[in-house]
Amino acid sequence: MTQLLQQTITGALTGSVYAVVGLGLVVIAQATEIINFGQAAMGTFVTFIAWSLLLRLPYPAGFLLGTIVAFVVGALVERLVIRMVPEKERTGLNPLIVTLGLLFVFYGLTVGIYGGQPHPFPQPFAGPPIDLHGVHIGRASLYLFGVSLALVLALYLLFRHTRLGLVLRATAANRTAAELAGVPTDRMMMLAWGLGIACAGVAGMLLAQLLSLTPNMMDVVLVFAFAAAVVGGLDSMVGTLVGGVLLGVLQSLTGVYLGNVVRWLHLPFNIAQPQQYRDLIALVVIVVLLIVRPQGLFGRKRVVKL
Amino acid sequence: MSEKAGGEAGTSVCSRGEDRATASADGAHPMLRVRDLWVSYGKLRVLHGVNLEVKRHGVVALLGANGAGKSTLLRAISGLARPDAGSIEFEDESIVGQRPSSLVHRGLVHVPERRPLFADLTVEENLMVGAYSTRGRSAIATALERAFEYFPILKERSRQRAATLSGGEQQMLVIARALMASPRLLLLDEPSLGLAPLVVRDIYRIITRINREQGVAVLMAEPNVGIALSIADLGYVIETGTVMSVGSAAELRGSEQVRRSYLGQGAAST
Amino acid sequence: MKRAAWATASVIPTPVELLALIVGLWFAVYVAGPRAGLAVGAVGAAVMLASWRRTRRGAQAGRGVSSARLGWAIGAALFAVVLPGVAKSTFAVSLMDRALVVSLIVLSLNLVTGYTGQISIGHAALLGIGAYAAAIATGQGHLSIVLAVAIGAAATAAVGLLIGVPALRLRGHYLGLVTLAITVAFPEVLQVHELEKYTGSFNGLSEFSRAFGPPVSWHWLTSERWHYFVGLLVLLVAIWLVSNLVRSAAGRALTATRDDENAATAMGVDIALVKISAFVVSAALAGVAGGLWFLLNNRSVAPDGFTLTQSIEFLLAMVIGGRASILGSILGGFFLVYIYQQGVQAFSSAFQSGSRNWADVLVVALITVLVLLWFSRRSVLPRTTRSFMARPASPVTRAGLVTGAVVVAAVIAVGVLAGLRFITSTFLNVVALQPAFAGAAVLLVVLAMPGGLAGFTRDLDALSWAEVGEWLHGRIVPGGVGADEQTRGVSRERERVSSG
Repeated sequence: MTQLLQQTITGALTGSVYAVVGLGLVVIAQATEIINFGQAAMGTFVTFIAWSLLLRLPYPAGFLLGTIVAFVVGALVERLVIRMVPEKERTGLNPLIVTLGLLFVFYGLTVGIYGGQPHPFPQPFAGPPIDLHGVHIGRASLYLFGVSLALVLALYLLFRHTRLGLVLRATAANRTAAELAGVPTDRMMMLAWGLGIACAGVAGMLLAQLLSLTPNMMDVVLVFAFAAAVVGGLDSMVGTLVGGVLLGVLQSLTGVYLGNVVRWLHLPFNIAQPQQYRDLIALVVIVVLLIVRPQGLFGRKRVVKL
Repeated sequence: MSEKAGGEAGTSVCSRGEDRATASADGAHPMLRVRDLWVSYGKLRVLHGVNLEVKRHGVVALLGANGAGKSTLLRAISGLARPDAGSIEFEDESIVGQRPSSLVHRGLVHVPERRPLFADLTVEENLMVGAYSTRGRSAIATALERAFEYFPILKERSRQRAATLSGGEQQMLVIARALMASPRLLLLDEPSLGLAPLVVRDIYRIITRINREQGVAVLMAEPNVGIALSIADLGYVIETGTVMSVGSAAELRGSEQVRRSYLGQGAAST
Repeated sequence: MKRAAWATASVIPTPVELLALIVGLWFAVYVAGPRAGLAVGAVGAAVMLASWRRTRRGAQAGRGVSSARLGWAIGAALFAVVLPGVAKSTFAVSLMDRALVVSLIVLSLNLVTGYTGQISIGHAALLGIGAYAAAIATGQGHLSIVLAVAIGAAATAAVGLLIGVPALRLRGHYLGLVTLAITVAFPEVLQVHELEKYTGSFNGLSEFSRAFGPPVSWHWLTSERWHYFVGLLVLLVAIWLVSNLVRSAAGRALTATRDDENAATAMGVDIALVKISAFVVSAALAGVAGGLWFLLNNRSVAPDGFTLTQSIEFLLAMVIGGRASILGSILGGFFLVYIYQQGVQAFSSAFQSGSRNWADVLVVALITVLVLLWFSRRSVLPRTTRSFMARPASPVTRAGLVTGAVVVAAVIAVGVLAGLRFITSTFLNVVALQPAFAGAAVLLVVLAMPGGLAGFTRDLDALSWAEVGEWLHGRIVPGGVGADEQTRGVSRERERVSSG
């Protein structure tokens, strides 16, 4: 029983970071109708910059500066790359291929500038795990969870309760109409990309202290983030948060109990190393959800079936 | 209603008659002046050297069949389409190449056809987006009050999602949203599209009121000649991208040219 | 107008033709050495150039097309059949073989992404499934290689169906999402403990014992050449299939789906069915390519050959070669193997001996110049700077400007490197930057040349409408975007053509 609780909590804490990456995806996908496949690579690049800053700065300053750098990188990418896609090609394939190009560019820059070796990332609350009646909670995980939750809350408040958020939502809903209503939509796009990549950067910095910092640290996380975003129907913030946490729990439990489940079901094979299946869960979640509930667990019915 | 707009409106109402008569005297400084405008989509020219003027507080109608280039002309003026050549001056300054949103800040607001609104936002939120260029809490509140005064039905529905409105209400919402930006020139593209005649009459009555009371100049594309000429001072008949004739409402009402361009004989002869 | 000038042009090649000639010659020499390469390359390129001009002229005058076609065939045969025959090494032959297989996979990717408009990031995984199926069927199943490739294709098609159905019955780019997940998961699945006895975990499978050699023993027909010719045959069959498919009614349904789903639906196209079938056919082709891949790599497969990087490289090849184009797929495949992979290797080995720092300065300076050029053509710079750069200038001023730009670029390069050194204590690693260059190439191609070397661009102008004629399938567009105006333009254009 303690082990079950332990695994659930660990999974939920880790899962919150998927939600943060997923939120970045949702913010960008909402405003610009582009699924950014370069999200993870950009986040990792920013995390490396933050790492080099943290070699010289105290943690809070480095973290804040890293987030700002991420925002600037996102806004610049929108201004210098995404906006250069010809207007009539904005929908369809070209933006997606552009984001794949971004994936390569930022991955290459990371490896080219910082090399491929792993680096330890500074932790603000180092120390032994907290013991709650036999359930151990790592300080790094707890910190990660706290920051993720705060970020999600901040974004929610921004989008739901400020005029800027209203205008951002309007731009996402109908760009031409927003432009004609006097909204400088190009600046809103920059803002959305900035916010999206800031999410990726924060997630990168949180993950790096949990794992260690490598150029492809976030590749798999991107898939989990997509899965989390799909749980929210690619347009719901709360759904993405719940999706991320659920996915983390599912992963964590799979890693321990999959063998038992298989035995309990009397399936004709054995699972000796269930932790190998942890990452495949995201794939299963995406595929099953798209079949069963394409609008996500929380999304409104927007996805059009053919 | 705001003092400033009211004051202007007062003068505009009395001067409207004179405006038309003394066009040459006042014509030196029209609010909007389009000269020799050429616009194309890809390799295809749509507008071939259009000239047009809208006076301060004036109401001008663009007449012509579908595909004549009315919408394109409005899109070019508001910055949605990029002209190949020609000049567009708004209050004596060239506005070619400016973004639509910055033109809104200068008082030129385009209400496009098919009433694009933010379907998932509430009516009030839609209006608040329109107030983006308005600064200050009290100014926004005044603008909102004004919009509700012209369109009381929107006040009743202010908490509803815009998607749940009827066609006429949606058209009202789009115009009200434009009003939130305190425009000096409104470009209206087919406000009557797909609406019942009674609703159309209501909407045009309100447009006339806005013009008289707020002193807002109106340039509208309207294929329904009868309605358009009932409120416009001046009409431009557009056919396959060129202005075929210009005249006052009275002149155009019985004009053979207008009838021909709607029957499309002109299109075949080019 | 331009085309007429092309047709009546003298024997002097235009810049584009000259470039194509040089590339063709360089390729032939690269494969077969200076003497044989120059001979074969010159004849082949000359024949193809002549037929190209003839096709152009024929298209105008409506004749001479069949002889041009013969010329194409002869020229292509010189490159595709004679060249490997006189190749200078077995390595040169297997490199060509590799390019063929990559062309095949790019062709299959083009079918679903270029023609149908659904992005797939999973073609490396599909390739891998085909390769692994072939490896398992020959190795553990003791089946013949032909049967094994067929099994591989069937298995891949089944997987395509399995992931295509959930992803493609929805609108939006869900295929990209699901295939991304597949690509990331595939190498991990291969290394799962329970599958180790089938997949060989991270070592993969190798089956050196049973060679797939030529049927007759003839010293000229080495096993590399045999593999190459088998690959060529398969590619030709695939090209024949795909070109027939895209020209049929089904093919028009594909492009209609890509261009406008609403209009396609209105025309009675079942777009979910169209997309899913396109993806399944594409997957089957990728499976065949996988079988060839297995042969090509000395009958061995390993998980690290089928990662996200490979998937994106295939997309890169497709984008650069040209979307919705068969010729583009082949150009893209050869580009990937010869320029991107081999070229970068040559580049990096050239730098390894020299001074690294100077190489870094050079690279950063080059990037800076490119970026400046790019920005000067786009509306990124302030208007004053742009108009200054656009102003016609005397040669002296221009030389001054160029020198200035070079100096600026060098200063920026040194500054950037110093900054990097400060924050990372390292210089750039030029070799490791390879993906960045690839990504930048993708961005440049998509932004500046959306059609690729030989591909389609979505051109909404009247002339292209008139040209497609019977292809016209209707569009549903909101009013006021010029649909009426365009239609009228087309009819006016037609009148002018018929009267003139």
